[in-house]
Amino acid sequence: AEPEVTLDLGYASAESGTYHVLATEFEKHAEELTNGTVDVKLRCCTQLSTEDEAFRGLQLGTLDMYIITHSNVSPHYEPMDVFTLPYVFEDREHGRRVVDGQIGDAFVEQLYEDTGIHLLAWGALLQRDFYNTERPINEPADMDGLKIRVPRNEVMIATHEAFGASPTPLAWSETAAALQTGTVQGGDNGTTLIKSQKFYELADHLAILGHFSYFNPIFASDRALSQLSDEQREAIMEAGRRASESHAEIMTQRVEEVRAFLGDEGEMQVTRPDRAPFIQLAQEVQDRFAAQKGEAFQNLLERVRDAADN
Amino acid sequence: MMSRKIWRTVEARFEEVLCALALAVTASCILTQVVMRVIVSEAAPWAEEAAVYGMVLAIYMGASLGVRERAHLRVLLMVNALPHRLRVASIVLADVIWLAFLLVLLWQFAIFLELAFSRPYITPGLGVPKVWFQLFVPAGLGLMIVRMAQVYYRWLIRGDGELPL
Amino acid sequence: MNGPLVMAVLFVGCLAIGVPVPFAAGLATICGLLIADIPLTLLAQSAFTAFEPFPLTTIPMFILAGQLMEKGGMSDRLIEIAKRLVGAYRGGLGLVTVVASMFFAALSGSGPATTAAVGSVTIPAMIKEEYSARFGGALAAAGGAIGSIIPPSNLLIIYALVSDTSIPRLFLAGIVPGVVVGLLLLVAAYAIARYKGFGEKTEPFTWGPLLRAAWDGKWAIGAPIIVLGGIYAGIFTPSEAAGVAVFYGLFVGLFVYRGLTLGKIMESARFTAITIGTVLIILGTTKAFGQLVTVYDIPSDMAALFAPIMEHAWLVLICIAIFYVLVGMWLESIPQIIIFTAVFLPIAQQLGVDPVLFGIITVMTCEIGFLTPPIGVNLFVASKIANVTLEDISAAALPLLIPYVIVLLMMILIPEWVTFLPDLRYGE
Ligand code: NA
Ligand code: NA
Repeated sequence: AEPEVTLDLGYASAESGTYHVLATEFEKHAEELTNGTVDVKLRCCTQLSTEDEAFRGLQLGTLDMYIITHSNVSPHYEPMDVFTLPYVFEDREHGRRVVDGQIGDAFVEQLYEDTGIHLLAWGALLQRDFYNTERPINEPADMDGLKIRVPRNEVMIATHEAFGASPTPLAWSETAAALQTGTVQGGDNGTTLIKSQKFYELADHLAILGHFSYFNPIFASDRALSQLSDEQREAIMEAGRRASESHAEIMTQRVEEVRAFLGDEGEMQVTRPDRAPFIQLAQEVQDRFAAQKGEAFQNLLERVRDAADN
Repeated sequence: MMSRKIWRTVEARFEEVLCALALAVTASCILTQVVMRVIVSEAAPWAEEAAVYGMVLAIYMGASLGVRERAHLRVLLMVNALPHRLRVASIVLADVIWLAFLLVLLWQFAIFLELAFSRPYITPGLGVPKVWFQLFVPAGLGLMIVRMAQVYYRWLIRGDGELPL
Repeated sequence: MNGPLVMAVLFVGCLAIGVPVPFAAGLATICGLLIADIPLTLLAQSAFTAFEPFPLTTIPMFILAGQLMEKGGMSDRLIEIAKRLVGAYRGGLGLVTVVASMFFAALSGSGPATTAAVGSVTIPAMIKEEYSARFGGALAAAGGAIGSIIPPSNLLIIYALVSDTSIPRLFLAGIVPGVVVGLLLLVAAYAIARYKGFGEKTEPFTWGPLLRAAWDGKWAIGAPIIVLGGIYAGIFTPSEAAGVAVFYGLFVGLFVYRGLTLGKIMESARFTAITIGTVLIILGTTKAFGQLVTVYDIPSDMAALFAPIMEHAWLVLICIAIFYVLVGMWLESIPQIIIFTAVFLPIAQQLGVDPVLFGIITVMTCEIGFLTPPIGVNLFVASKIANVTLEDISAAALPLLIPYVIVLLMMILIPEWVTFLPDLRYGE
């Protein structure tokens, strides 16, 4: 059928990144499930907006849909920062249990109530891998004094401080140059980004620490969804769920491929440190932030922790 | 008499002094950031934000100063080719359109502020609602409108010679 | 309704009756948003967020630093060094103007500022030595334009922000083309001076006075070494370098050369504020522009337009460069970069052109725009100092455009030499 509604789906990364995979999956499912009555247009590479401004743009209705890393949402919606806490999920299954189950549903509902934004798809649960130019990381002592690039996020800064490193908040755009000149000696990013940005040419050591997990959810504005019929809305929601599932599958495989690439062709020395001592250090950060934050944050953290024991 | 002199100084220097202070904040925060990292090897995430907000204040105060000094950049090639009366008419029309733009922007900013106050964004570095810094924009827009009114008051009512281009 | 067409007509119409550039662009943006059915609150949001990227602070900081360095006495020292270096040859003061501009370009982020700093000393000196005022002015304008290509450069920062390209790479890539333009300008200035008989030959060059001037000017030469050295040694990022430069300028101006007073510092701040308030403000009014270009699918329309010649990258680049030069005759460079990078960079990338190279080409066309009537900012600055009409100075500037055009063509036809330095430092 002829498209009745066009929805622009924006994201920050280039056409090879993990956002793009999620966006492509979503486009496929959405157009299929609405019989082509909704046309989803992919707008990569910050063409529509930067990720920092996107949440506000969605609230204002100046954007239809946008993929935003969850930690960029937390300044707008504090409970989101629960997912930023170091080692908040025991493993990938724990993470999926949280977002795909009741906790996730309640979270999405509350998010809409508090911010007016729809979360359509959580996307895959991914991890930031840690790279540095100095030495292989096997235990917390190896982190000592490393100058680490971090985004401007208190939790991430506090975590690296707890590990013994000295974190430096730096804009993403300056990271590559700063690594080369030695302004910073390491950092952490999604595995695929480390490959696509060719950081393996700059840093020799990769540690699969699993300290930070992240989602790249697709968010939609009320204004965009209000243009849809009930059927189309239902279909779009379903498209979000399906896109999330296939994104998780694709990315799980891809991340392992990329890690293998970084070790072989990338010539990085890959370590998989014992997590126990890191988790111990991280626990203190978790507790400290939980104490600082509001009730909504604490309740969510409680429920997430409970879900680990299942 | 004294109060009149104070008022005159404020009128002449208000934006200028604010700009100088704002630029000083920007420069100092940047230096702090470098020093903290290099010497103490500690992060100062608030410094980057404060530097940017200082610049935003300087830009909007500078824009207002630009209205007072008629320093905003115009392409006057066609206008200058016109006979005198039409030239003045053209510039007055351009200023009315400009004023309309400022008013639309101010009106949209009011809508924006409603959202920004009801659903605040807490800046990750300074940890305060960003909306307080965003108020620099309407403040600047308002001052620009005041300065524009002042330019026209001087020209039309006080009759200070030509409309300065 | 054809959104882009309506926007273009409204923009040009508003410009023609004298609406200031940033607000004419803002009105066109409003119109584009209305047609695309995007809420106007985007305009309000953008009026703030446009200024949030931290690297943007570099621009006011470098303007302020340049002012402090000039008023504090550094530009005098640089001109003195240039005099001792090339002042003895035929047309010596002309050569001094170019060399001093190249020095000052390494302190200043802006072409017009470089013209003002160097020209205000050398133009009156040239007139005193019976150079024609129009040639003296034109030369200061042409030399000053180098200020935007030799790092630091405000225009390269703006380009980096709108194209998401690395600032240190762009800065490194600007050095060689900037120096080559400078050398070609020296040749042109020498030839014209010989032909017209400007400038007597003076005592021949000797090392003593040069070394003395260089020693006396060490704090001035030190500024670019600290700024660029600090960046490439990793002590601070390029964005932080400008803040460091401000304090360096203050320190040297207050305690070493002692040219600075509180009044002069306030003057510098006031100049900086008016410049950013009237020039940078356009970022706020055109921020939504990138989104509009995307929503209207302009890059793919442009690609269709270029389809017949797409297999010849150089031909497409020459077309874009000609278009940029024509636009640059009419438009300020910052709006030019903001508006057209969004449109043309995607095409250049389809052709496999390095975004760094495209940035240097873009800025080079802007420099030509500084030197062409009717809106040639450097010509405005220099004509005021030389006290000649814009027509006169424009005609005299014409032969001085040749170096810029040659380098522009060389960059398009043989790109490797431009990206050589950044690739060497940062890998390909
Ligand atoms: Na420069
Ligand atoms: Na021009």
